[in-house]
Amino acid sequence: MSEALWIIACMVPAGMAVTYVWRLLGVMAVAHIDPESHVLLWVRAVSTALVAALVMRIVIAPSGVLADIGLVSRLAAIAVGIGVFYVTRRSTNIATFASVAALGVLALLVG
Amino acid sequence: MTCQAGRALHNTIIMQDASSPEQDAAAPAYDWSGLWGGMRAALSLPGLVMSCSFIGFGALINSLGFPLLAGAATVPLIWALPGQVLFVTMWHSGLALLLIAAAVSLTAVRLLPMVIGVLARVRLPGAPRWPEYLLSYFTAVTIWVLSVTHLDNVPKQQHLPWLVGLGATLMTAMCVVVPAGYYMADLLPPVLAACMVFFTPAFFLLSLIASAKWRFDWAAVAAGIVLLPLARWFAPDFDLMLAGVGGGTLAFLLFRPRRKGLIGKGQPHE
Repeated sequence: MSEALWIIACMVPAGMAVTYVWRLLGVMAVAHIDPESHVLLWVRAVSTALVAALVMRIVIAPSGVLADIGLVSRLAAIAVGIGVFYVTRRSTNIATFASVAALGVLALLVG
Repeated sequence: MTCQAGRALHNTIIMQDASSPEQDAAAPAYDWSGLWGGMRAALSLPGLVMSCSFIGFGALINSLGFPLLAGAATVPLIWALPGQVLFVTMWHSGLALLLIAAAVSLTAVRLLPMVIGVLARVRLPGAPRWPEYLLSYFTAVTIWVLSVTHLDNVPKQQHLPWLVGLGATLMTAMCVVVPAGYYMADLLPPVLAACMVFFTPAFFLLSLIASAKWRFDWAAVAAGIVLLPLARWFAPDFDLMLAGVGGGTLAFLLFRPRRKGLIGKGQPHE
């Protein structure tokens, strides 16, 4: 319990403040900023690449239960998701479920 | 005082006469009856996918031995799954708090254009600004996606309240879903638990692809994916920074759009 409270105390500056500052800046900026400025495009590119990198890290170097499933199965499940996304005319929801289902099937068949 | 009274009266008029929103042009005000529609939408399929992602997050914190209370606290305190996943995994790795703060903040940078994109679409210029701050508190990937896809049949004055209702409902629900995932992880067979964890990367990647409109978006997705293994091999502690900042900058420099007209879906601004 005390460990949890210590983590939460650290989370307020190192998780909450550093996250919400960008939301606040967004609200302040929207009334003034040119929504087409190149600075924002760069920010968008970096944030997109960052999340893509985070996805890749979870897929190639997972921790916990996911690590028990082989790398090939994990990569193949992502590929299935992307394939289903285009087959279903860009349905994020169906493709997400298909990707997860593919991982389960591959884990049982291939490991 | 008179202003407030006028606004209240104005709201009443809108509530009673929703069929003529044009008369609103003089003094814009939000129609908070839109809250209910957003709350109902939280129970739709995107809410279900989000629940699975957060069950996966609950399973993840269990597998890391991260305390449940602290894991659940990331929901109202951070409210952006990439940042939450980063915080708990980096904490688990025992990295310095400053490094954790820097990495979480970097993933949260994308909330800035996201908030601007959402608000540019739903805000009423001239209306009080506090509802915009309220909405920004709930804004993350899912809100952004739904603001693009689900608002066509909602009256303009209800857009912002609709999203606030959606965000508040989802946040409340996820506070319950995370503990559920945490305890299910022990009961589920390992393969199913792994599947729950996998919802997060699958949903993130597909959301990125779904929201990519420009060549540099695609380039940034590809750069992040391709550069991460290289960066891990090169400098394992800074892999996300290298792949994210380096890949994003590279994508931007190589595929920077020539013409303007982007983030608010080309919407005129103000």
